[in-house]
Amino acid sequence: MAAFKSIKRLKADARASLLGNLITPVISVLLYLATTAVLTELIANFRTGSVLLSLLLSVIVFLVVNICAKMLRIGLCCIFLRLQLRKGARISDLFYGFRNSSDTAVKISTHLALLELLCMMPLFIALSVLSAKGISGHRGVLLFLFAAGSCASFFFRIYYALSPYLFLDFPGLSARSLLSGGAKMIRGHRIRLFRLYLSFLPLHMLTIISMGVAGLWVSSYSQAAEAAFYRDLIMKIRAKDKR
Amino acid sequence: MVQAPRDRLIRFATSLSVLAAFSTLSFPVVLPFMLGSTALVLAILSKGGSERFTPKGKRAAMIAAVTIAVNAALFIASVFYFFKILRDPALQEQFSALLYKTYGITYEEFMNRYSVIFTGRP
Repeated sequence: MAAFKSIKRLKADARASLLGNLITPVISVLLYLATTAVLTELIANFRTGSVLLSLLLSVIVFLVVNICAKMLRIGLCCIFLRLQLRKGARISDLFYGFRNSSDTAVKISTHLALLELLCMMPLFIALSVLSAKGISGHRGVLLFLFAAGSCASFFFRIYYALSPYLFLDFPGLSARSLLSGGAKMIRGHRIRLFRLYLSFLPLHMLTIISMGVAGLWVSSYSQAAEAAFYRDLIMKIRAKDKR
Repeated sequence: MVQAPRDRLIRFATSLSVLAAFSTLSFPVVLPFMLGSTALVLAILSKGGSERFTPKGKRAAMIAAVTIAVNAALFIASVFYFFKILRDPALQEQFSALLYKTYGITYEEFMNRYSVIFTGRP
């Protein structure tokens, strides 16, 4: 079986797919980030007198917002996969998940959103209890819960990173098969994908110092690299199956 | 004449990096960081399928990187002197005289305004 492409080669493939096609991905990333930022604002600080009510509201809004964000992420994957396959992409592809096999897309998004909710649940409980009792402070505890939740959700992100791409390649399959197939496919390659994400850390630092402006191009680049990673993996698997 | 996508990207990156370098003189730190970082990312993207920069792309990346480094040094120096002024009464007097000459306010008035902005009370 041929060796998998190195991270340098994957990034070169990503750049090659973006060269001359930067406008569509950058506008799509901008739309995605703007939509998720507006939706995320809805979650921020539900302050009611009751712990249970604030928790319930936070959880419901978090779930709805995250499902929408995950549906849009499927659209982003569609754009970058099409660019990777040199098929050309349109900004309207961002809404691919809402238009094509949307029941499967909703099921996949709900599964991923529920996993993320599970990771962030301790933080929500702490925030609801503190805000209902009117206690300020405890920043250390909240920061720890946020960091732990983010790490756990990053693990799940890697675990199910390929499911949206599988959904695009095999739209007829059920959500369960796509999720388990994605998890099975990434087995043995999780560290490689983690290293690919990690290789973008210096560029994400540039995003921070540019106050988010450079992020439009950095996000496009990292998404394109993820699509190149999927393409490399699926091509090797198909070649192996043919033999 | 139609330009190749790579040349267009390199030209855009070079323009941004030169703008970033010049903006160091007029709007230091914020604008150069924004323009320089974007120029650097675009210069990297201009490599395309190759793993090396083209000479023009390399020049754009170098200008952007130097601009970012100079502004980072400026930023660190500013933060360092800000805390030094807070602690050193002699420097406070010098700073107060300079402030009064330039903006017509003293160090105490300046700090009062900032404390209102950050704490909401004088």
